[in-house]
Amino acid sequence: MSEIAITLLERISKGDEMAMKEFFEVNSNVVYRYVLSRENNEVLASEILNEVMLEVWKKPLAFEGRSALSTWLISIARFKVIDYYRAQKRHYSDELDDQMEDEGVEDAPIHLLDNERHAGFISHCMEQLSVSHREVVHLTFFEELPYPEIAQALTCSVGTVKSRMFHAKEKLKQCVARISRGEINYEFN
Amino acid sequence: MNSTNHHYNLPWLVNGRLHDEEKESLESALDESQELRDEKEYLSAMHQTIKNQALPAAPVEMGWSRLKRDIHQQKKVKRTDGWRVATIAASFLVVVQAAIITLPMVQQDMTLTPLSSQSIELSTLTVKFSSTATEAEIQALLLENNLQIIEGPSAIGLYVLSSNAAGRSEAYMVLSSQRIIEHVQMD
Repeated sequence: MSEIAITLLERISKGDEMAMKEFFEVNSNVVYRYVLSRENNEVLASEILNEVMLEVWKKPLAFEGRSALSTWLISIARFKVIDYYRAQKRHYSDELDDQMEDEGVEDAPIHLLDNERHAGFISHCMEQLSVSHREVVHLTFFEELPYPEIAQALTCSVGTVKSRMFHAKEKLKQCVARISRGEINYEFN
Repeated sequence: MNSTNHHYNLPWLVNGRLHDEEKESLESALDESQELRDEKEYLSAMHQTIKNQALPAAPVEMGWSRLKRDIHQQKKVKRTDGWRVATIAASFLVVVQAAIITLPMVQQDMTLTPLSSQSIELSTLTVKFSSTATEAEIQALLLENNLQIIEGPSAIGLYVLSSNAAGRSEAYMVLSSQRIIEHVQMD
């Protein structure tokens, strides 16, 4: 994977637009879906995707193959999102919710996750998480990255990644439990 | 490894990306703990649910058209920048040549004595021209204010201009307000 990517990036460094097109086609989903999972905004996800790929076009050799390609791209995307918030003069906080206590462990209603109908519960509950929790869950369960890679992409410690994942999972559990008890209004589409 | 660590590592056992050593340790702990097994089952269900989510795909066709347009714009800007740099470099070369020609004359006698026998004292100002300044703009400014380049550019692009002592403050004020001057100081 890395070797193919490095070959493509070398061609891009020589101004090969076809190589850039190939790179874009193969890697755009990772960037787009990462931003979408964080921000839940398709327009912003498209903007950031364009910014990230333009950065790749300008500095293709910045990727040294020391991490997975997806980790590199996600890390660029994350900085672009931060830049976007800075430009909008809006506050961006990565540490949000890191210190927040969970409201208490509740019974894990595993049966709620066993079919398509209840998959909607998880999507709904994911949206209730803070950005920093949501992105860790996305990178762990959707992109299936190992935790050191996630720490690298998010420029934080592995301890922070594990802690965020743990608390995110607890919050998801609580949310699903509340839906099952009818405490949260949720309608299945 | 303690129980908290096992709980913290479970998501990566579930996604299959745990390091071998941690994996072995966690699997041993799983054999002994029903609580951990329940947690693993829950996380596995969550993993499958999230993995199977129908997240929208990136708009590849539209995205590539846009990126291609931006790449072409970049190339255009790069070419324009190249010409601009070349023009500025050529301008500076002309200015430096002029300075080399005039410098020996000025340096021979910094206090010029006109035929009227009154002496004119020369003083100097140090300036830095902005990178967008053209040769024509620089020449016009120097001529208008009766200034001459007597030294420069230095490694950081500074020029020393000569001015007669009487008009130095006035020249300083004029230069300070010029768009093509980044920095000016009276020596």
